Amino acid sequence: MISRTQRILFWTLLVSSVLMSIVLLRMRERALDRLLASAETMPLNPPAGRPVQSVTIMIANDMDGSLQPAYQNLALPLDDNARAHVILQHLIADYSRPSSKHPIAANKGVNEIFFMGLPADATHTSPGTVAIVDLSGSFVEAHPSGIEPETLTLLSIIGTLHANFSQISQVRFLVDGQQRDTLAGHADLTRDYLASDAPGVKHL
Amino acid sequence: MITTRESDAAIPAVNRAEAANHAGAAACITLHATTSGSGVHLFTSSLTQIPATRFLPWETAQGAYAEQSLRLSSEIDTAMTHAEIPVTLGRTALQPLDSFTCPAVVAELSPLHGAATVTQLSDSAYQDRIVAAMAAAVEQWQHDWRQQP
Repeated sequence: MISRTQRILFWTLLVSSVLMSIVLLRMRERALDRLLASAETMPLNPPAGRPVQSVTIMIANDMDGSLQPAYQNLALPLDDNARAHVILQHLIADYSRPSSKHPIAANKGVNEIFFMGLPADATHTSPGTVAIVDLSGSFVEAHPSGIEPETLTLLSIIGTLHANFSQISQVRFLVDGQQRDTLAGHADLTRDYLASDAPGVKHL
Repeated sequence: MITTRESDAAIPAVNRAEAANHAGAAACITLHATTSGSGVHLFTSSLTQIPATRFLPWETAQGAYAEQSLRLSSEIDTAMTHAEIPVTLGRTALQPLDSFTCPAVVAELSPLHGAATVTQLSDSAYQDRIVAAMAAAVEQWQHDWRQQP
């Protein structure tokens, strides 16, 4: 026989648990909203008055399989991740132009870029920084299938990052935050690429 | 000669590498097609040369044949140039290429862009030129292969 006091205690605890769960869920939703809001307001468009900087963009050419440096003057944000994002968005926007020699249909480009320092231990033969490039699903869907165009796209992104951020030694690719086997059926996205894989890279 | 795809059916990359490795092939050529670029794109593995051993890691087995693959690619490049087909050379990370235990080259065929015309891959004369050049390259490679230790 359960006493009245114990029954009251049981129901009180049960109601408290349910209320706490609801409060926690609500707090989690608010935190997610705040996170998304901060991501949307990242300084991708630099504030007015920011000095213009010269950047190197490695442009791919499907006809001869080459990467050629092009120099652009851009007003860039101060944050490295945001700067890299702006530079790559310019590169991908260039490929969506009708006159592009490496055409990729219009798409959202890169979601985000993160720089991650490599720990200085014996297991890493090439110390430096890993750039994690999160491509958008629309970029991958718009990308033409083929070994040459896919390889050139990856090398052009790697080369552009390495040309503007000399500390980058490796580049890793994700698609919408997830690992994916290939870019459009061919070029391997599961491996880490060495920044030196991209030919013709010169530091500013 | 062993071919791994006799019909328009997708074959897993791992099966192609298994077939080539079990056959003990003297040369492996992977054929692809794309609408981008012009002529023939030749690719070899981006792996660097490693010493050949009895047991090789599946993911990087091609590393033991990196230099031979470059020589095979050079042979095909020469034959294509003689056939007046433009060639671009490159290295790439591609499955199952990195798992082949034989000198291996990827040949990606694309339309031929001339000064004023574009010859599509479906053009039989263009196909014949590519096949003839490829056959000449393999024949030359076979001759060179026999002379290798």
